[in-house]
Amino acid sequence: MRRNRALLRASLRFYRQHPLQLALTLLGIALGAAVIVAVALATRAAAVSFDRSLDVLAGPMTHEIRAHEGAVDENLYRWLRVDRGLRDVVPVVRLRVTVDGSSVDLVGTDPFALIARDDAPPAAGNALAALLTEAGAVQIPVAIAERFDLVEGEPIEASVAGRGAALNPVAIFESTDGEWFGNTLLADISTAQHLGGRHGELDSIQLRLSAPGAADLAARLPDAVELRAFDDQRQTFDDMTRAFRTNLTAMSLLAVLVGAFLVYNAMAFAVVQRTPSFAVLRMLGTLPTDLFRLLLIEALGLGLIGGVLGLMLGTVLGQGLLVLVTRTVSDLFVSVDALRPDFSLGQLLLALSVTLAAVLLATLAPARAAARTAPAALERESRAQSSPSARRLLLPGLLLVLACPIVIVVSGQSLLAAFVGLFLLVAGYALLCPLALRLSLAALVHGGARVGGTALQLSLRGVQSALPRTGPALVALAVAVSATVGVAIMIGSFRISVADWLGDTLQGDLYVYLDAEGARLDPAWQASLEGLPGVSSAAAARVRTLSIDGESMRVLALDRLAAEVRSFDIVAGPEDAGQRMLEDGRGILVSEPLARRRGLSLGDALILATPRGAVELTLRGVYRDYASSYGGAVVAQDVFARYFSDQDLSSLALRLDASADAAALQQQIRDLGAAEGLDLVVVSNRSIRERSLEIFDRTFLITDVLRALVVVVAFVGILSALLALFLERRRELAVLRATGLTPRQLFALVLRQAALSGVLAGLLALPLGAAMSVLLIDVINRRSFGWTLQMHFDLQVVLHALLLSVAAAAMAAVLPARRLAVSDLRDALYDP
Amino acid sequence: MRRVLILLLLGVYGCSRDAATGIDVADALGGVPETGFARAMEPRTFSFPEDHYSHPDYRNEWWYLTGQLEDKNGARFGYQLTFFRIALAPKAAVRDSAWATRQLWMAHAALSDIDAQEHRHEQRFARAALGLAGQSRSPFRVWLEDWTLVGGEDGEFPWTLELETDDFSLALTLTPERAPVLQGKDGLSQKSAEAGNASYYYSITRLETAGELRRGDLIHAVDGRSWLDREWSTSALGDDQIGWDWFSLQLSSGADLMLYRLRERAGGTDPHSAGSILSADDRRIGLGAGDFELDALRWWTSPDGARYPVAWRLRVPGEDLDLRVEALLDDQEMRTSVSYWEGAVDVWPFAGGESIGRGYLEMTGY
Repeated sequence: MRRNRALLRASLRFYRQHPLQLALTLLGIALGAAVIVAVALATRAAAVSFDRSLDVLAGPMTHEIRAHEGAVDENLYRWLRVDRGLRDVVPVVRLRVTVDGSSVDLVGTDPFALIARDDAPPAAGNALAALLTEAGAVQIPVAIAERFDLVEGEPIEASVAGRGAALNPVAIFESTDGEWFGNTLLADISTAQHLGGRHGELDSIQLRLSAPGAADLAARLPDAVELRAFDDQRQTFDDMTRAFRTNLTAMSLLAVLVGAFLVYNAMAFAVVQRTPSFAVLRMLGTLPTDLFRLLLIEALGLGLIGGVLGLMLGTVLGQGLLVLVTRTVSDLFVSVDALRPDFSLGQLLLALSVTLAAVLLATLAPARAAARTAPAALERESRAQSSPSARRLLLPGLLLVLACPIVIVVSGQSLLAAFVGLFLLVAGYALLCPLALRLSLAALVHGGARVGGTALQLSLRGVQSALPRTGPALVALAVAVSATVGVAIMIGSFRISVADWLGDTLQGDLYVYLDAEGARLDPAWQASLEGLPGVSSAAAARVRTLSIDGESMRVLALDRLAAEVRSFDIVAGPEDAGQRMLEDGRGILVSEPLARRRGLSLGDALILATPRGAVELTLRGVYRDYASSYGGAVVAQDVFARYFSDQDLSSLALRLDASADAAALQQQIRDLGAAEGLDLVVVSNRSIRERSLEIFDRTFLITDVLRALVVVVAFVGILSALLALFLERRRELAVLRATGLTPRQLFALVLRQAALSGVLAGLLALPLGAAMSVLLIDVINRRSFGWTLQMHFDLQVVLHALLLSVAAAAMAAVLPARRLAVSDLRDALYDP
Repeated sequence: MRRVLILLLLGVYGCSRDAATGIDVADALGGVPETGFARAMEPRTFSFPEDHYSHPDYRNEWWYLTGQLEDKNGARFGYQLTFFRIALAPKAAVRDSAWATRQLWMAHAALSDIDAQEHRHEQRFARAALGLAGQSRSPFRVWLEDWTLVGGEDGEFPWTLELETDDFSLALTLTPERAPVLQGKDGLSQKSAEAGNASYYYSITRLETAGELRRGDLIHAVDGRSWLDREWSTSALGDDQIGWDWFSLQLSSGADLMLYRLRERAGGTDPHSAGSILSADDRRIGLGAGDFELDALRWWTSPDGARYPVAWRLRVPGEDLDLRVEALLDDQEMRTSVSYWEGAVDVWPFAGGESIGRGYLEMTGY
């Protein structure tokens, strides 16, 4: 016991003597842990936020009835209450109301459906008489009243469904965050139908049902509607965002992996520095196992301190990431509104455990080296470090790299397995790096002796001799840079694929639609816009959210004219699958993500739920589509015409004559809309494309941030490695100075060596980066989202990678080099 | 004379938020002003079945059924089913919606299981729109969701009553044994001094009742006797009236007694308290406040602290009646938006002896 205490005291003394080293190690560990924590907190917050908004929507209800398409017939509500005798049933009409330019939700419901409930929302019973009998009567939660400066009894000028309306706030009610209907204007259902022009229509009917009750009801509901459990929506959100969350988590684990190299380096340094004292300790009777244990205890201490610092840093970082995660989730999946990271002790502990595990693993080799210290050995040169020799790493490295394709091939569609493969590749490649570095340097030194001057020789030899010390840090840098390369190539390829797809898809010149979610245009608009001078054709798009094999998704109806302005890149099936579908009228095209997710193949029968019953359609083709990772489908307009009562349009794509003035036409069409009280949106092909790519870029912002964080960890690693290196080589470099090198020359020499190391790391990063990009594009992205991307290599990415690598190494060298250049020669020369 | 609920609902007694039901319905409804509604000013001519239908120009109206039932093993039950129509305004804003209405319906259902000494009740609300609740013709029908009271094409008897709750259900057929009796002055029941503070009020004091009731999972074939009260009005009681004790008793002599005492804030009996006896030979004997005496004999305290007299001495000296009226079950409190006590009672001679009648008792404002 006393012996252990003495050992620990010696450790503390060592770290006190090398505070900068200690600080950098802790920083590296902290950064790795922080990234995991931040990603975990932010993604969880997005899910929690979705749950909360669902809670606000669902309250105590468990299910809702929605129409497959359009509105629910209000008579269904009476059937449920009067004929079926169900009690926990609430009808809902939802409107968007614009007040002072910003929009809020208005829920119209039947207060009597709520009034006798224990769990009624606070607004349910207030001013009931006024709600039922006064024009435009609404109840307003305090928060909204304050936001818009609304006062009870003072009429509000608002716009509902694109038309002006006077609302009459009959009561302002208190509601707490997350309460059922607590964040919307509340009106009687008759008011909502009147204001929204929704006679006879409900958006949904909420119910509270037991599982058998739900099954029984589902079997008796008319075909036009479906019963959905709110819990299923939670599950769907979970499923939809899983791939996205897995991707982020993998990125954060990469930061830990890079951090592990740093820890390895730091611990190896700590062993080498103390070899003499370990030797003395061994002479005094300290056992190898004691030294091994000592190193692990040190690592554990560092891991704990760094890890806890990381948790704190991570919660701050999580706040930043949260903004990005929330926006991406909202752009890609469903709107969420998360304000703060969601803390869960479990996640914090998990992050800490992952960090500690990485730190301890990285310490195993240095600890074994410490344990092997021979008694009374007095060497302290780097080469004495018993790190695993580069050659011995060759076989395991090769095995790991080879394991990668095997794992990927045998794992089917598993995303997790794809990431395991990725990590195997990275780990295997990292193990091969030391040998590659050694061999390439040997070749360079050999070649440099012939072509280069003394300066280059000196630099190369310097790098070569420093390898045992800087090697791991360079490998870490290479891994970090390779991730940058891989991800950059993936994003670049993705962006180009999306841009190409947008170009193919958007064949119209102007697009016209209504400025409201799901709002539709009267079919008469097609003819009236086509009649405008300058417009050569107006193709109609009808999009409905329909259930295909029980899954709701957007379905586009295509007619001959629309097929001309919307081309499909068929990835499975005959090239003219669209035409064939139009001809036989019983076909369907599905998007690539849907086909992949559901494992669909040509000729499969799909069931489309329509108001007139289920229709069986045959899969004729799979088209490339980046609009939704969930999936979409296309059917012939004939199907819509046959099975849906309304033929309203979702949008119109106009083609213009070459001579037409697009801007003037845009204004003219907007004015036409305004004359009928409609808020028509008229946008050009280009602006849709720009907006789409803007969203695309926003989506990948978080990836960029994480990538940068990984590089920062690597940078800290290099800095720490160089500091250690120059500390060891003080005497050697002091000799150089003593023999005539000026401080400036020495500074330059050190920087050159660092830059050379950076070049080497950068070059090493390129093949790994390329391999990673292939994995990301062809395996991970496909398994995550089902998208096929055109691989697109960019020379710029290569240059950026090299530049990044050199800059990171050189910048990391500045501080150590300066310290070296200005250090006292005598101290360095005579330091024992 | 069951205006209690409406009055309380309309905020006359300004009760507090009821924790059990969450929403303070009284607050929610606010004081609907009387202006714009028709009022009961003078006697009118009643005609049946026309007056079984609703009178929407008046603010409030109800179809009030209470009764006692027995199964073949002698197990006894009391039941109540009341439909209240409440107008929220004399006129409403025009809205393009099938949900638009100015009429609210409320219903209370209760079952007293005397042998089990259990009282179950439920309250419901619905709007008079979209077929959710209302009163319709051809056939005569009063309903709130799946609680219904249905008569013939023109409202003729027998009527059937059906209701379903989690705890119990009723399916009963009601056949009058006596003609409707007009209460008050030819059906005009004055409630306080001001003109118009009155209701139109008729009763069918005996309806032969038979059918089934479900209590939990057990179905009983039952028969017995019910009492129907019909009343519509607009105006409220006076400010100094805080509640009442209302009796509807069917005596084995063949006479039926209806009697209410309006209690004043100060504790006295309001002079507008009244009642009537319908003798076995169909003579109606009107009773004024001075014609009867009521004394509480025993009290029961509800979980909420209200103290209800559950045994009474009832005297009508002029008719030589001295009765003891006692609850068959102490806790027959309706813990609805507004709590009140409404329950089955038995009638004995005060001097002692066999039971000489059955009935219902309503107590409010305690």
